[in-house]
Amino acid sequence: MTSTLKIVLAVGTFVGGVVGGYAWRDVSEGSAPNFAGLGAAMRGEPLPSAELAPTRTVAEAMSAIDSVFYGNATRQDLTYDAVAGMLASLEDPHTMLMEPALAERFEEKNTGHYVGIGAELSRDPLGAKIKRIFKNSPAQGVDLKPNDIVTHVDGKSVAGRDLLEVSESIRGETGTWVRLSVFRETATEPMKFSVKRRAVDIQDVYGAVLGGEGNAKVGYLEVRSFSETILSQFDEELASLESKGIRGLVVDMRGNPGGLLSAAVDMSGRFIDGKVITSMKMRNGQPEVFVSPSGWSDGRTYPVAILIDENSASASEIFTGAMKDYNRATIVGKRSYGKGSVQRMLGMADGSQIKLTIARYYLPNGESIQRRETDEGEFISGGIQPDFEVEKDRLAVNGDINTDNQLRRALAIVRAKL
Amino acid sequence: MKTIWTALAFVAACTGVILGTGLRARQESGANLFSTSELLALRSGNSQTSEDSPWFPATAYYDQVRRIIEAEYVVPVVDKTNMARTSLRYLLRSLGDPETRYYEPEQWRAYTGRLQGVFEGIGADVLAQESMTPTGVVMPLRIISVAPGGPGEQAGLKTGDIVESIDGRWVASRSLFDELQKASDSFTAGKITRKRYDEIWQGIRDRSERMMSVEEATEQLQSGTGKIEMEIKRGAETLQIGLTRMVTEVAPVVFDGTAIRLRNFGPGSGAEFAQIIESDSPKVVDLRGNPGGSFEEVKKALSAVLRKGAFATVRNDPKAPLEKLRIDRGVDKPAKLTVLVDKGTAREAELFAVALRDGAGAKLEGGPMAGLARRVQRYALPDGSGYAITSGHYHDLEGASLVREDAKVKEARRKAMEAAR
Repeated sequence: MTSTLKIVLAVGTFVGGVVGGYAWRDVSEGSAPNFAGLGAAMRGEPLPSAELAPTRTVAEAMSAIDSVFYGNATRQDLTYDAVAGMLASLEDPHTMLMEPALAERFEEKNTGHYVGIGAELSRDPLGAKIKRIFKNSPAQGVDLKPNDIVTHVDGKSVAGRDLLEVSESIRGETGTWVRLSVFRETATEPMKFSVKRRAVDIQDVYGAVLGGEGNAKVGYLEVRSFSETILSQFDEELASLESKGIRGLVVDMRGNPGGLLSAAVDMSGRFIDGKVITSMKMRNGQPEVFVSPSGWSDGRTYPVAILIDENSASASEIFTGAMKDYNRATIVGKRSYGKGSVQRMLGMADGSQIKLTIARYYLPNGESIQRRETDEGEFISGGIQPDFEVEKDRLAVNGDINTDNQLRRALAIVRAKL
Repeated sequence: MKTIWTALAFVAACTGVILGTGLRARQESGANLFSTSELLALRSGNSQTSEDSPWFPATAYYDQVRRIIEAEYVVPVVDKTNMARTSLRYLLRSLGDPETRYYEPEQWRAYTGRLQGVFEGIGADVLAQESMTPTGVVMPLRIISVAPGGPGEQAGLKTGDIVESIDGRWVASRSLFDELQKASDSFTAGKITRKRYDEIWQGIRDRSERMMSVEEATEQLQSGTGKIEMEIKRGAETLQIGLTRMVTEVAPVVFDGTAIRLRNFGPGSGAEFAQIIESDSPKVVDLRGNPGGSFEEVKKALSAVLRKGAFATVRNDPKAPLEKLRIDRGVDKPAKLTVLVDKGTAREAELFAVALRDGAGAKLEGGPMAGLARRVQRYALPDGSGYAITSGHYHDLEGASLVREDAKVKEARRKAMEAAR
């Protein structure tokens, strides 16, 4: 080989290196190499593309903040904010970042106990309405009651506050006290309570027998979430009800935000033997089909009604949707929330968690229950439409046959089928 | 011999790759493309961390999440630019500084235009800044100054006005919650009935359902065209103001024979000011409603009226010592001037005013000024958007801050941040 040729080759290698190095980001990000950009670079011009590369852009902004910003900001907090923004750009309400502290609390909640007063709250104009008092809880000890409205926590008004914020302020360390001002419809004056916080076990399934004395006994089972222990709680309560001779059942899924998909599928198997309950479709690949287990329905044929409302979501919609599609239950209440997506929790090295929507699921009849709205927020489709739409009375207490008009309706429907 | 050639080719390839990636990186960051020292420095530029924070692999963490999303999110992510933009918006907003924020392309154009005296939208300088009320921190959207000759001025907008709603949609601030909490207190104290409370609540709910963010509102006011209806709070009064948005160009310097009016520190303002000072020696400088502009123009203008040397100070970090700001040229005998200021005299204009006071014994009449004299760094991005970061607070020569900060707001924010973490 002549020296000239060698020089030409070396120069060629150099130029190739420049071009390759320039285009490397495109290749690594999976897009076509931007040679037009290289041309511009050679003329000393900025990239003609109007696109921003997220990581690069954010890294530069962080460097800029580090070097010039007047004030304090840690890299860690900045990163969480940037990641929160990245996730927000997907415009999916179920995709989110949980910073380490929040992730820890979330974990605690899933393990089945927490420190607080043992009251479950719901939204109310005045603050937070007590929806349920847990058995053997401090709240029960001081005689707080369902439908009491917490207006002040430690002297501060909680009107207009986010529910999460309110429950956060009521929770605290074991042995500490929280002062609550409570509005009770039947009381003339605002009531004040001091409650000592302690660890409270979360109970997810409540069973009761409705009727008797002349009427046929009908079971009532409230399922509050689909946690890890839900199935054994469900089986236990159901067995207990059946041993008392119930001839029908009302399953209450109102306010149930969902949880484990597998629990919903298994629970469906208590009524539907070996059938497709739902199918899940990830972005790439074949739909994954979930079939209820065989041999668990124990020949149950008694009539079932399911109560749902606008806060019944996810796994509770899968259970309800399957029961509806196989004509195994009559659905009563309000159209459900419409969360037909599956999230995956991704634990990061720093203790934070990314909750990411990775799939959508479909009912046995092929419909997606994912809620769709117009840009103005008007309903298009999604959720489970009840067979009987019943508005809940303002003073109704879930599970209380005297005030719960939706439950009374469901009970009447079950009785009519006996 | 053969080995040498192979080695040479290898070195050539490596150098090529390094130069190529560096070139791309610099081109994307909008930096000067062919400065070799910077090109080489860039390779290590990203690992920079602030000294007071423990090391955190910020970029790696962010990039890891991005890759996860791109691989696993339920639908393919098509708009990466949007991803970058939203990230920046959250990132910069979290710093809690009124001038530190991200601007979408259209807003960036409007923002950089305003610095040069070109006002889009309603023709006013508006800013959302936190302030304290008995029940908490609120963030009213305030008119800082009104561009002379613009639609805002013609419709009667005034400095200090608070924009409550735009086209029937409420500008989000905590005032709604304050209202609700006040009503809640009245109810529990037995002053109003449950029925009345529910009415108030319903009213607030209706408003909150038609709410726009402060960011969106700012955008509506400072860019765009077409008609706009605003509900304005001026003291205890509530006014309805409607106008048609348009572009207003404000010439920076106007001289009427006795007073020189500096309406902004846009391009050329410094030189023009200097020329009028030299030829007409006016006695009055009118800085009312001047929203600021370029720091360089301020220095040029000061060179025509002050001795060379320090004219003010700046603090680049809350804990850093004051640094002197200087002009290298100046006059032998400072001019005797009266300076008119008001609440609309903002940012660089405030710096200019106190420099005249401290350096030339000028008398400031009117005021107080806006209290917004922050030093701001600006970063343009290749997609036409950009962001601004507050890098310092201006102080006068004596070291008094020209940025008004409510200590209670700062404390409330610190607590909120702590609670959030």
